Amino acid sequence: MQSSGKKAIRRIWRRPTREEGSIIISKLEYFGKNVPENVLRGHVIYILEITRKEAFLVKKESSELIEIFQPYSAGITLGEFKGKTFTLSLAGGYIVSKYATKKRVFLDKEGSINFTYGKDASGPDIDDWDPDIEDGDIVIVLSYEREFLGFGKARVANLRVVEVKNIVDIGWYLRSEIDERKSR
Amino acid sequence: MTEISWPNPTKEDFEIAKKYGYTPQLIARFRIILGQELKSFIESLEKYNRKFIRVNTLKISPENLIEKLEKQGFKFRQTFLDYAFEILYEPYSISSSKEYLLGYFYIQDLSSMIPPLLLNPEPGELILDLAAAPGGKTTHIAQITNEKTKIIAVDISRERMSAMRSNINRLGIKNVLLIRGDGRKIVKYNVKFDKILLDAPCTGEGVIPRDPERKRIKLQEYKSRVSLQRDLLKAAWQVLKPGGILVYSTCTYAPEENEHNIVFAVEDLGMELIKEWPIKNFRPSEGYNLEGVWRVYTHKQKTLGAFYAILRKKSD
Repeated sequence: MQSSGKKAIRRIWRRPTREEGSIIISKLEYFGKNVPENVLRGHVIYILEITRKEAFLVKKESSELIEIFQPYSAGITLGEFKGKTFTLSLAGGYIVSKYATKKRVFLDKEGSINFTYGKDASGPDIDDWDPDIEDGDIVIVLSYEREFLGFGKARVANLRVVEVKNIVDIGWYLRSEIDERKSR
Repeated sequence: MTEISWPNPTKEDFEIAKKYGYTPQLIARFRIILGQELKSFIESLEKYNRKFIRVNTLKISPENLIEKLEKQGFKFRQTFLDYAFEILYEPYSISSSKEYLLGYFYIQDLSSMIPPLLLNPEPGELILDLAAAPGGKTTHIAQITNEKTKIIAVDISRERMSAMRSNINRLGIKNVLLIRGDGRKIVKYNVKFDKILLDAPCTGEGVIPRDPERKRIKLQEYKSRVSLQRDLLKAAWQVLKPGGILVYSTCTYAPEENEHNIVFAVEDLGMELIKEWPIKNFRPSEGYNLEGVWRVYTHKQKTLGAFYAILRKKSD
């Protein structure tokens, strides 16, 4: 027999499995050896799997209440799993960028502004980069003031980062607000 | 249940209502509260365009942020809070600045920065924010103790909760759990809180400068809001620890949603009203026919309108 009407979504929060934990740590380490230790200090990761599988970074003391409240959201979204791939969110990227020592590209002023409008960066927009970057690498994109702007995919030619394709940028916060207002 | 005052408007009330787009009854209600000050009050609502930012000190110092924004041409004036500023000039919309996107500040009226200060959160406390979205006050509470509190933030609206999650991610707040649901049902979790902020859903007379549709609030809306506010007050009282603090606030001038609800909390729920105003360098107006509660008016404090009260649950 088919049920009618909407079913309440049951939220089940849990700690990451050993495999999930290891995938997350690898992703953090990709941006620097000490990133996992710094990001996780005083925090706990929780997983919420409904239609998407997301990882949340929560202050340790508050995380003790997750199992009681089974909340809609907890702390910040660290990132999302798609299969065995873990992608950092913008909020996760901001924290990681504070401790990252690898895979970073720095843009000049004009390039920084354009990047936050969803544009790619190329040529003169690119001020500097970490020497470990290889062609096709996912990179943290930082402004001329060393501020987190988003993630990109680097194109390297003749040992130079010549282009950064915009994957996601902090302008998303504004664009999503505008989209939400339009949809009301 | 409290009766909603719905007075007969005078000829002058009709004239003012017509001129500014209000219902005559709302003008008549304002006249009862404000008397001779009615005209200057109504004019202040028409002119109000102040805009404030609260610096997210979890991410940046006020000095550093203001320096960054002033370099881009923004101009500011310090408020009574060392991390809150009035915007005097915007070369472009500040909400599209890189600093906004980085979560370095939150845009909110000065009147909305008061309730978290009245709550006075302390490290280690478990705090409930009922009717929390879109999160301006929740994130302020988190900021005051450098994320050393545990905060449960509840709101029923799907859209507003989605906006709140985005704000929390942007501001990088990690000590808040968001509950999407009816605040009246918070009792079911069987958890007691040290402090509660009830910034109650209200008719929003105080935000008329931002939302002119509020000029035409209907009688039924007052009734339904008061009923919801009392249910939320009861729920908050039930989940508050003995000796715990409840800050009740609204953004409306309606006495039925403000002072009458505080009388209800004191007389029916047995709560104690804390009458001392704790913020030294900001002075609100007295309550309407009730001592120990406070209001801010657009023509007096030069902010959006609001109401505040601090209640304590008596120890068993």
